[in-house]
Amino acid sequence: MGLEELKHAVIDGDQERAIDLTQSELEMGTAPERILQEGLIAAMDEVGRLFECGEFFVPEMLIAAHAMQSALSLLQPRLAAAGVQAVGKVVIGTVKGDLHDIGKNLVSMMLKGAGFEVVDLGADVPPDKFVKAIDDKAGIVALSALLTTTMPAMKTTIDALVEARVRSRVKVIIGGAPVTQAYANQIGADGYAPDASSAARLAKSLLDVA
Amino acid sequence: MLHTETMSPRERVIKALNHEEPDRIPIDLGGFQTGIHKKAYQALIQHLGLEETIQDLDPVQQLAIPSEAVLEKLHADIRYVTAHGPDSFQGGIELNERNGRRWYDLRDEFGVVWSMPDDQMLYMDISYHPLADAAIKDVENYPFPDGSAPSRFTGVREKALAMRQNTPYALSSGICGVTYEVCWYMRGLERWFMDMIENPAFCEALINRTAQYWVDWMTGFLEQVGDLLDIVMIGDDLAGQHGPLFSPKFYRQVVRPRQQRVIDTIKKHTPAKIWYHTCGDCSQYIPDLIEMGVDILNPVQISTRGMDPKRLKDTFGQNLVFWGGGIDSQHVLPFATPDKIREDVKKNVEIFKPGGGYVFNNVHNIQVGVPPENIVAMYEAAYEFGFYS
Repeated sequence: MGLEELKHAVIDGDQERAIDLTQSELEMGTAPERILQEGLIAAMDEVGRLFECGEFFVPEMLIAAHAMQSALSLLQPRLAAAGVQAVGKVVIGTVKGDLHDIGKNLVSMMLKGAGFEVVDLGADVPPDKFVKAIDDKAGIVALSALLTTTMPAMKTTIDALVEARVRSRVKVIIGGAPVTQAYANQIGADGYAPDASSAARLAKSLLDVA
Repeated sequence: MLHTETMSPRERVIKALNHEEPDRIPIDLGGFQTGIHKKAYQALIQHLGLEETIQDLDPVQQLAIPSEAVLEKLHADIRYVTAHGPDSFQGGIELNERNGRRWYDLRDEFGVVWSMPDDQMLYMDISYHPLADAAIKDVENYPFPDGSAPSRFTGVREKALAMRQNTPYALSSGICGVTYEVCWYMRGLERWFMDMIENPAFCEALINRTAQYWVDWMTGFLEQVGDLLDIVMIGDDLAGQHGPLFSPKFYRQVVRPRQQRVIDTIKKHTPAKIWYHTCGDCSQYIPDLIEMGVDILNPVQISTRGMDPKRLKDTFGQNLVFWGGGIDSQHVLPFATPDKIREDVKKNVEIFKPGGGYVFNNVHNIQVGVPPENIVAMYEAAYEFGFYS
């Protein structure tokens, strides 16, 4: 069946095929939401599982995410026209002082693959930029840091959210090489994930998304 | 208890690398993966009451060259012999303005540009990958640097010879032989990872060229100093904190044979031990490295799942020297008290030291923000608990 084929094209990272199959599903009149859920999100869910069990590595995850994003771009106008909402909105960035973005980009891709709207603020993001990006729809703020030297900027960012009185409106999740659950507890973050795939799962569980 | 040293630093290092117990474990500081960031070094010399002008070891990682005064105080047993760029290379660091900030930009010999904002001074990250949009033909035509250019090695033998004759230390090369990583520096990591699956022929074309560069470089360098070195340091990061970064199948088919060419070249020109650096949980790759002729593993990232010190020592200690892993640099060294540092160093040293085969270092370079008290506590503990009797 078509959606199953689409799912496999995404898992295999076959971008052209993922686009063609999405196009033909739309032409056949399949509901955009079903294409998203049963084709793209189901595929990225499986990619995450394969990554976590050690069968997939970063390259496999990357090409699958690229195939998914291409198909999603095609689908997006139709989802908007049908009034389909993202499962939640995440504001993501690498904290002030830290220029590394590879890990953050992977998390961002996996969040999109899980059906989230992602606002990526980039790297070296000052706390006030996170504050300004929080609107009524934002449910999660995701902070990344690679260095022990820049980790404290995660706490500074959370402090800025408290000061701006938006902390209670969002869940804060953190990740990056030196970051741990203990550090998340210490600075008052709502969650920590050790890799991109579990970050997407964590975001879903914090927002009670199935 | 007062301990007495009975060996020269070089004797000590050689014994440890041959899996025999010296008088105490050798100690390292000041390499390209066993060094110290300039800002952490500044804090250290201030703490030690020393006044120095800090010398640069590596602008990309912002590492200092520790002074002899510091190296002696911290009981460091190894000194480094490095080559330089050829006369034809007009490299250097420029200060440029972009996006409202001032950036230090460094273009290396491969055409990769590394950049760092002057308001942070932590690291240089890559801002330009010269082969980002290249096809295989472009790789073949790309003007690679000449690894064998004699001017790279001018004065290196004289310097190494003087160090060998006038100092008691073991001598190591700086980091070299970076065969795989240079590929992604030139291509961009994301594109390179995708090439592994979508365009492996591109990966092979590029890694053939980096391997040839290093074969030529090693030949030129080791013809000069191969008889004077005790250690040659090579490395390519293969693992992240959760294991291999890319599939072991790709590693064994594409990367390993090219690294083997470089290792074979080293072995042809020097009896020095081969030291290999890869971060992360590289436990899956340790049997490969041993088969390839690697003698020493660094930095031994003990906080990752597969890199438990006891398991590593029990499983691979007969065949591999561990160089690093003295303390967890991510969760303990920057944040703990000096007492806790001492306790952890004692615990790790006691696991790694039996039978030799261990050189002390923390895990990778000492980063900005590590309190100097912790650095001193770490080295004092390594010295005190490093004695064999």
